[in-house]
This record gives sequence, C-alpha cells and structure tokens, in this order.
Amino acid sequence: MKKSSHLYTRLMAAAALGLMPLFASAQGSAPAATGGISELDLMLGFAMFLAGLIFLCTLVLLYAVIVMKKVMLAPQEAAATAAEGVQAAAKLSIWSKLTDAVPVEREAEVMTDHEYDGIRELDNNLPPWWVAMFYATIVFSVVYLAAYHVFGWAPLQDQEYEQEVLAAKLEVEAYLAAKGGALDETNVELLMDETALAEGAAVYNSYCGACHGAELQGGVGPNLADSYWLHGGDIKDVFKVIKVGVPQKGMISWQTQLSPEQIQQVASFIISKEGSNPANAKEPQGEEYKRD
Amino acid sequence: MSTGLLDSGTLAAPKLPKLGLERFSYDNEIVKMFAYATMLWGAVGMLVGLFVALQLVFPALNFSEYSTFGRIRPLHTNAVIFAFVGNGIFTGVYYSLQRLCKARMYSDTLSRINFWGWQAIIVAAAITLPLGYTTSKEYAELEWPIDIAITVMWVVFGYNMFATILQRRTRHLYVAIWFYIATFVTVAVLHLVNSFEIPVTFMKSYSWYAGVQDALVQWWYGHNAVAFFLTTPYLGLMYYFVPKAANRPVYSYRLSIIHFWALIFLYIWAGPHHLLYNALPDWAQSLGVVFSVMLIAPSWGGMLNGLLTLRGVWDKVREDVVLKFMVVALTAYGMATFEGPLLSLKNINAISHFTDWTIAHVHVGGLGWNGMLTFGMLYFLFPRMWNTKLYSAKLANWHFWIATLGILFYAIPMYWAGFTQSLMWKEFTQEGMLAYPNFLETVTQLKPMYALRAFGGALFIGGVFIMAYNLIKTAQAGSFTANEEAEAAPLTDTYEKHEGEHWHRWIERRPVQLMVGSLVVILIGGLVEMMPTFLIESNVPTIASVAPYTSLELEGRDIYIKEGCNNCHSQMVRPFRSETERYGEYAKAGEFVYDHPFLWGSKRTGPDLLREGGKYPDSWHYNHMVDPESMSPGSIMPAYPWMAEKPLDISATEGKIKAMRTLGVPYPEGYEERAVADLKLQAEEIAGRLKESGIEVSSDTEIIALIAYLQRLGTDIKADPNKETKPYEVRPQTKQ
Repeated sequence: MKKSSHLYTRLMAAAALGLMPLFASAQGSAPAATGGISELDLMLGFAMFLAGLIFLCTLVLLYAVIVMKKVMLAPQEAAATAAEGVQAAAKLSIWSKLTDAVPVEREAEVMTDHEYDGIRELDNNLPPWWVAMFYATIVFSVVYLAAYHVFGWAPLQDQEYEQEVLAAKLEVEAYLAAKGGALDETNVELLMDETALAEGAAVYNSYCGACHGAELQGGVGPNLADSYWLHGGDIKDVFKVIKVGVPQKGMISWQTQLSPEQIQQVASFIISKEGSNPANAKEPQGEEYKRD
Repeated sequence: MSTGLLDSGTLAAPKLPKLGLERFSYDNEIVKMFAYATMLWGAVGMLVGLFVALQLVFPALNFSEYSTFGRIRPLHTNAVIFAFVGNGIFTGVYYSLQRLCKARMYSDTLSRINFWGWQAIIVAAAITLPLGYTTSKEYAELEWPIDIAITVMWVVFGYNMFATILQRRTRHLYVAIWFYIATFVTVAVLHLVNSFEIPVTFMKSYSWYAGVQDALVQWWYGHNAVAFFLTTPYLGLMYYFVPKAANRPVYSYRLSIIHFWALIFLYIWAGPHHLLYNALPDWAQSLGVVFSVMLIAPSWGGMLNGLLTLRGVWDKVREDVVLKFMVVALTAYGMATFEGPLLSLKNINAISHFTDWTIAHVHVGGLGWNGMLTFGMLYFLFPRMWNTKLYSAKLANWHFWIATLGILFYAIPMYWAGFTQSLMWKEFTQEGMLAYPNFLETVTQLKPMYALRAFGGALFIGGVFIMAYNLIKTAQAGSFTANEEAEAAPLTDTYEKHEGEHWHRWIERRPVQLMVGSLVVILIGGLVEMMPTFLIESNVPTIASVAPYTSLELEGRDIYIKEGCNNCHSQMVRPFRSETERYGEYAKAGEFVYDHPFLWGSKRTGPDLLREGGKYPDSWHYNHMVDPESMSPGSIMPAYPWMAEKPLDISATEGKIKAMRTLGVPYPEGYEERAVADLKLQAEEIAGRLKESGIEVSSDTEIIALIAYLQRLGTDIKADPNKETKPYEVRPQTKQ
C-alpha cells in the first residue's frame, strides 16, 4: 500500500498548509512540485475546510467558556466584593462586546410588549460580529463575481481545465525526459526475470482474467495460452494490443489504466505462459507464431 | 393545564367566560395523530436507511427485484424527508399555530383530510418506489398521480392554516408563523414547477424540461426542499418550542426580522451549487456559489436566536432533556449551515462532489437538526398533552446520548470515506497515469467505513425505539386532553398602532401581505437563474451530431430510470484531468438536449457512465448485469439476473415517442409508427452479437434494451460523420 501511505502523507501536508488565501488557486500558478492545479485545489480545499472547522470550534469553545463562567460566577457574584465585581465585569466585557447584548439582569430594558402564547421577545442588538460576517460575505460575493465574470481574473471552468492539462503534460514530459524516454511498442523488450513475471501475473489476475480466463484458457476473449495469435505474438505486438486495444472486438485500451511498465510485465507474463495447456482451453484463433 | 371540560359531559354547565373573552378549545387530537405518525414513519424510514447502508457492505442484501439499492434508496430519502419530517412539521404546526393564533384550527375535517391524505401518499410511495415507478428526480421521485395528490394535500394544509390565521385572536403574527407561511408558499411553488411533466401512461411520465434546464430546475427544487421543507418549518418550530421549553424570552426580535427575510431571499438562489463544474453555464454556477456563501449569516441568525434565548438558563440545559435535544439540534444546524457554504466553494466542491462527504453533510443536518429537534419537541408535547410527567427521564437521557453518539459514528466515517475516495480518484503517478485506474479499488477501500456508518445509524435508530417506548408509557400513564380549553378576547375591528412601534409590525398584522411578500421574495432568485437558460440559446450551445435516442435506447433508458441506476452512477464527466483521463471527454451542455429527464446523478458509488458507450463489448455488459462479480470481482453492484428473462414492455413505445415529440425532441414525422419495428430490428442485432460471444438470450428481454442504451451513452459527440447509418437510427428532423 505504498500509494495510499503517500496519500495520507499528502493529507497531512495539506493540513499543515493551514490558512491559505482562497484566490491563490485562481491565479493559475501551478506549483512546480507534482500534480498541477488540481492538487493545489485539493490542498486548498482541505485547508479551507480545516480553517472553517477550527474557526467553528473556537467559536463554540469561546461560547462554552463564557457561558460556564457566567453560570459559575452568578452565585459568587452576589457575595463578591465590589472590586471583584468590577473584575468580573471586565472579564465579561469581551463577550458583551461581541454580542452587544443587554445582560440578563437588565433585560427588561429591551423587552418588547410582544406576547404570543406566553412567549415574550427581547430586542437585543444584532451581534456585531454577525453583522460583520454578513457584510464580509456580501463583499466576497461582489469580488467573486467581478473576478470571474467582469475582469476575467479567475479562469472559467474550460480554461481552468486547459491550464490543468497543460501543466500536467509539461510535468510528465519533464519527468520522462529525465528518465530517458518512455517505454512503448517500438522499444519494449521481453522480460524474463521472476519478479517482473510475478508483477505481470498480478496485473493479469486483476484486469485480464475476467475475459481471458484465470488460466489464460480464454472465455469472452481469446485463449492466450496457445501459440496462435490474432494480432501477432511478438512482445511488441502484444504490448500494442494491450495498450491501444481492439475496440471493434471488445478488447479495451488499457493505456489509461496500466503504466507502460505494467503493460510490459503483463505482456511478458502472457508470453511466458505460452504452451501451458490449461484445462477447458478455447479453440485456437489467428495464426501460429513461432518464437526464436 | 386544562382538564378537558368539553368532552366530560358530567360536569356542571361551563362557567361563563370573563367579560369580553371568547371560549374555545385547541384540537390536540390531530397533534396526537401526527405525533404518532412521526414516530412510526421515523422508525420505518430510518430502518430502510439502515437496510440500504448494509447493502453497500453486504451486496447479497439486494436479493430481489424489489429490494435493490437503486429502488430502495429513494424510499429511504422520501420516507425520512416527507414521512418523518413531514409529519413532524404537521405535529408542530398544528400544536403551535392554534396557540399562537389563540384559535382552534379552522376546520377539523380539513385537519383529518390533511392527516389521512398525507399518510395515504406515504403508503403510495412505499408501494410504488420498490415497484420501480419513479421519475428519477431526487426527492421528487414519485410519479405524476401521486404528485397531484401531494399538491391537493398541501393546498388542504395551507388553506386550513391560513383560514386559522385569518380567524386569529392575536393581532400580530409571531415569527414562527412567518416561517410557516413562507414554507407553505415556497414548497407549493417548488413542487409545481419541478413536477411539470407529461404523462405517458398511468404511472409513467417524462419531465417537461431536458438536460441542463432539467438539472437546474431539479436542483433549484432539491436544494430548496432542504431549505423550505427541512429548514424553514423547523426554524418556525424552534421559535415556538425553544422559548416555551426554556421559559425564556426570544433573544432578539430584530434578528428574527433580518434573518427571516434574508434567509428566504438568499436560499432560493443557491441551487446551482449542486452542479458546480457540471455542464452548467459558468454564470449560473457562480451565482450558486456566492448566494451560498451569503447564506451563512442568515442561517446562523436562527441558531443564535435559538441558543441566546437560553441565556440565563444554561444550568437548566443540564437537567431538562428537551432543552438538551434542542441545543444539539441548534448546534448541528449551525455546523451544517456553515459546512454547506464551504462545500459550495468550487475548490472544495471539486473534492466533495459525488463522494460520501455529501452524505455526511446531509446527515449532520438530517439526524442532528431535524432528528434531534423532532425528538425534543415530542418529549415536550407528550407530558403536556397527557397531563403527566415523562415516564422515564433516565431513558430519555439514554436516548440523547445514544443519538448523539450515533451521529458521530455516522458522520466521521463518511467524512473519511469522502476524502479517501476523492483523493484516490485524483491521484496521478509521475508517469501521468491514474494511480487508481480501477474505480472498484476506490470503492472496496471504503467498506470498513460503510460498516461503521451502518453501526452509527443503528445506534440512532435504537434511540428512536427507546423514545417510542418512553412516550407510549407516558401516554398510558396520563390522561389525554383531546380538546384543550382556552379563552381569549376577539380582535377588534380597528387597531391603533402605538408610539414608537417597529415598522415591521405593519406586515405582522397582515397575513395576506406577508404571504405575497414572501412569494415575491422567493420568486426573484428562481426566475433570474432559470429564465436565461430557457430563453437565451447561447447558454446551451447545440451540437450537430447529437441525435434523439432510438426507440430501443429510449426503452433502455426507461429501464435505467426504473432500476434507479442514477442513484449510484453519474453521467457527468467534470472538466478535471483526473476525470477526462478516467472517463473521456468532459460533458458539454449540448449533449443533453433530448434527455427528459436529465440523469447526471449526485453520487458515484459506481463509476460515471457518461462515456460508457462502446467501452466494453455487449457481452461484457450482459455478464456484468447478470452477475457483476463475474466481470468486476469484488463489485458491490446488485445483480440483475431477471433482466435477461423479463420481456421488455413495448406497449407504450409509440406513446413515448409522441410524448417526446411534444416536448420538442425532433423525431421525424411518422416515426412512432415504425418505432416498434425499428426497436425489434436493433434488438435482433444486439442478440445476434451476443450469440456470437456464446450468449443465448431472447431479443425481446429488458437487458437488450438496457445494453442498447448503455452502448449509446456519450457516443454522439465523437460520432464519425462518414459512418454508415443503421436503418433504425434516428436523424433529427431539420428545421424548416
């Protein structure tokens, strides 16, 4: 599970990013590392969510602390000296500033004359932070719409897609160039070592066995354990058939699902099984291929 | 507490009312009926939910045609939304409205019609959904005859409510009633517009809208079903039951005013956030984003007014179980309404959409807000209506903790599952290949999370049973007051407003203006967003190679709808590298112009199917439908062996073609007459291909039609113009 541990490392990394400005992604600046825009978006998304969660938790905590304090202070307050009372009032002032509420003891001042089935209504001021948040979201909305639809600062989804694909293409090309070129049907060679064949067998079992049979005896697809081939039996031919497929006959293309190395491994595995004579073998199809 | 004078004939003549006071009674019987229905359907709806949750862990539970995930999942959503919460709304409204208006419900008959009609609709849903009668539109799956029944029942409810309001003995309408009125008008508008469909047979219809428009209308509806069925009526209930239970004044009148109007105005715009990065015009998506973000404050206004009403009585929250449930409900409401706008940001939605994150989000809202508030309300009502004490405070406390724990056990694994799957979908290797090219791998990874979620759900349901036991015991111990006596002075004809009165008091005295006002406010957003896609062609650029479905494909599509395939498979490739690599070219608005209804889906438990056509041979699809594990070992998809035997129903084919033409699909003149012959031709061809692969199946079976549809999916856009046309293919009639 190498891949998934990588996944979680990345999750942690994203978490570590913490607060990042929302619009960084919209600038279209793909990071030089890996993955292009979508990954940055991923991290940003997670960071945003985390930031939100932290914000919410802080709020709830703050609220809880203040309420607890109020509840616990209430009986003591009566007995407390004047000085302590002043101190307590000072401590509470952040809370009252935040909510701009009239304290419970003086709530008669903001009591309305409304009464519905015994329910009364106070008319406390709107909490200033709430009003600020409302205004902030309105400002955000105006800026957002302008950025996307008036000034074109942020890419619309088609442009964003093109940028993402382009960035990824450059990155992959750079990686392959550094590695000395990609493996394809022109330069592929037959592998014989056991580890490679074992890898190939694993790929076969997960992707090919359903149609070609667990023992390569054939099924929906042709028998692969005999020496007859519909599209050529050379490693280069087998590689190409797996890579691009034979869509008109139902063999799908695997190049988006298997890496060139995996295709090489599974093609080598298949060739290694030639002449294995499995039970219930499908009749031979195509022409016989003789190996040197 | 009254002692039920009206129904005890043995008492002496009722005492005369005080000077100027009128005597009347509140109808508690109807509240009781709805309260029992709420408990019953709550248990049923949640058990069905548990069943579908377990199906994802044990696919063998999809044992019959009538119990597959695709058919039962809509039953769960409909049952919890319309049966559990729906009856919860009626319970609370019928109780609080009478008291807030100081008047009995206008008509006991209408109240009973409302009750029995609503229960009949629920039973109809429970029968028709497993039978496969569905429109496929989420939370609006019920077919047209039931849609009409819903409309009638809603009007009965609204008429009864409004007539009661007009007969009220209090001058001003309390904030709870503003929410009830807004709920009534908006749900009516939503239901009517989204259910606009053309009937083909008694239980089959096609949506009036196609593709992008249908998606926009559906999610305007879907989102606002959350807003105006799960939120505004419950805010109304909260405004009544929280101050009542806490015996405290509401925190801020002016906050009520602002958050009420802002909420109903802004909410209606936010629907497109369900379609971010879909084939929807960018401007519509952006409106969905910003209006969702602006919703945070108005939503939190409700939470604040609820929580701050408890100022000074927080010590009571420790003891009073009703308040406990309500505090958790309000907190869950605050969390869900903060997370919603976050999920509406495009970069977060890119991760969350189509995953279990959405499922987690809705359940925090559903279990936390609606569930807990309903429980709190029921614990409040039973002792009062039965004139006794709650049977066991201890059991109620157990219920509280089990339910809270259940929510956590539900939500956390689902968040984890959502993140995990999304990251797996998007992961690339350095060679530029998908790291998890096999979709199934990203599903089997989630199985432990699905199992944990089912455990969380089971806990929550366990709590419901404890509550039912506790409340029934309470009822048995007490004596029920069917008609609760009350007295109040009638309204005088004239009203003199007094000095310094708040300007908003004006509309609080005028229910008709309040209703019209809220109607206008909620119409604006919907009109601005929907009209342009209908009127301005550039919003849905046409694609010349897109043609109508053949008659066989159309029948296949109806099977796809009947089986509810869209509950697990999307048909919407988003413009991301990770999706175009996996599925193929991303979706274009013009591809869906003949899709009545659209089938974009909202969740990918299985892979996207937009570009499925031509990907696999017919034989693969045949084997995969009959036994998914034969082609995809480890698959959790239900098996559909009966499809290979059941004959395709072609009795309505002709009518379907005609209906489609009425909706603007350009079938050539007279096509309906050869539709069945063409259908058979194409079916023979597919059966022939299957035979070549060694599969013997009759050409008149359902599976043939479904294969025809699947093989057509998403192929038009890459159609080769020089390709030979098959005789049964439909070329659109060119416009004269």
